[in-house]
Amino acid sequence: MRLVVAGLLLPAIASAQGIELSAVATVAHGDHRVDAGFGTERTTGLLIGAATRLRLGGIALTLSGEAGHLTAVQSTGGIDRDLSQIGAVAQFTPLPWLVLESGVTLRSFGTALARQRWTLVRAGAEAQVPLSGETFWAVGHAHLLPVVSVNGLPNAATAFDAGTGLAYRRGRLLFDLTYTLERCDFPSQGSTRRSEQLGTLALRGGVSLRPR
Amino acid sequence: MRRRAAALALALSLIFPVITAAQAGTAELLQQARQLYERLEIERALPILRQVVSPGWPLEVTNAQRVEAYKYLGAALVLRGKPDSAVLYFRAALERDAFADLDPGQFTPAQEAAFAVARSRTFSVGSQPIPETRLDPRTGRLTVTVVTTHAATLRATLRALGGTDYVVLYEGPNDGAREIGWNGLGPDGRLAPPGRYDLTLVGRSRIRAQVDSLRIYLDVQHDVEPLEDTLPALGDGELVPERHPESTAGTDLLKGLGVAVGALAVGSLLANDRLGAGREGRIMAGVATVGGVAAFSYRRAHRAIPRNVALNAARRAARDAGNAAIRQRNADRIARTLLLVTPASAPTVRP
Repeated sequence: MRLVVAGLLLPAIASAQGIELSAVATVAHGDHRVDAGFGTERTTGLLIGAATRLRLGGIALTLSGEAGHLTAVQSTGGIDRDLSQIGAVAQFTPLPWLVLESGVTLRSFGTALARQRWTLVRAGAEAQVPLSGETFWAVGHAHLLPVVSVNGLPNAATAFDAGTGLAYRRGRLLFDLTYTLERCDFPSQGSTRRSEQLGTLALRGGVSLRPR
Repeated sequence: MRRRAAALALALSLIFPVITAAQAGTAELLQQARQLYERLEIERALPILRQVVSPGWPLEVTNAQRVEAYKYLGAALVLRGKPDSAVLYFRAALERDAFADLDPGQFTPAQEAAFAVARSRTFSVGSQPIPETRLDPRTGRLTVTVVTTHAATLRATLRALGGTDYVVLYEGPNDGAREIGWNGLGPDGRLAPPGRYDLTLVGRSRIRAQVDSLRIYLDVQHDVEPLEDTLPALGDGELVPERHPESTAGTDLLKGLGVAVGALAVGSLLANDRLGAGREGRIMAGVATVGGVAAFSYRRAHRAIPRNVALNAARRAARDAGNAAIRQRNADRIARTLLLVTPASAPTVRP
């Protein structure tokens, strides 16, 4: 009951106090690649998700979640898997064009054989410059992943993500198309060195409670 | 220094007694003549009065003193049974002061009758001095008392010195004293501008074929509250650019291409060599290139910055509104302008 009341009141509070609340839906194409010493296994598929962002002045908190089924690409020797993840990112905007952000993502890969849980901690920045007026924006982002913890595996030795994209913001509408490549290299174990990579091309669309 | 002051004091002490003695002398003589007249010692009063009006009289005689002397001369001659001579002296008094009159409480009916004859034979227009007046044109009037010695047609006009247009203050029959008024407006119906004006009185006798005129000068000044300055035009520092510079389109194209190059770089340089990368980066690069070209084309066609245009328009509107309010306040102040009317130093002129 309290949650329902809070949900009803939040938009009014947001308008009254200059808080911006936005919600977006995400459709992404994922390309997951793994080399564990037996050649590259590749799976691809659609990920569906949503995110909500609460901004107060220069500080924002984003909560997101995606899930989807990745299908093994024939001739690569992989097996189908389900991907689901939730994430939380705290953002700080020191300059109009720069957002510093840090967050954590909990990810799960589930196959017919086993379930692998990932914990990724990331810190980095996103730059956005107007491409045409203040409607279209060019976006670039890069994060280091200092902690990548996977059950059954040692922590990743090197991990980062980077990407670019375009964003459209007009009135309450928000759209963006972003390409992100996340790469994790694990320490060598014997003669093999495990590497994993998740590339996504994500289209997000949603609304903001306060026009920008 | 002390010697010079003493010399100045001596000079002043020598000059002032002469002046006051001269004035006092005429006044005392007139007083003496009046007292003699009132005791009916006409024979003794007449020489004194004649002495006062004589051109050879060495002391100063004001116009009022001369008019009084003529009046008493006329009155004395009526008592002596010389009405024709009396009329001559009364006429002399009226010629010098059209307002001259005999007080019925002090003079006999015969004297008044002789004075009336003098009036009918003398035609003259006169005016009281213009009073210093602070005139609010919305509510007040400048009032001047004018006179004709007998029935006449009187025309009173006011015009700016050097001007051709005039305001008719009065035009019509008149006999005796009359107050005429001026509401402070010029011939065009607007507030009379500051400057020197002349009030011209022209009288045409209805009894005799005589015309007399009089011109009186007056100065008009405006008393208006200080006006506010309007707001200055908005400077470069107060307005934001309303159009993107020409280079913006090229910059937008470069940004789009930058996103495309970034996407390709991420997909090729940052990807693991063993794993390779999918088509997502190339798709993003393609979309970004199209976006950059679209931004380039759009910016070439639409260089206006609507938000800045609106901002500048709002600032201009605020300035215009401020100026309109200032103009309104200034107009209100001008509408409340008072006229300061003072008699000019120039003397009354009989053309």
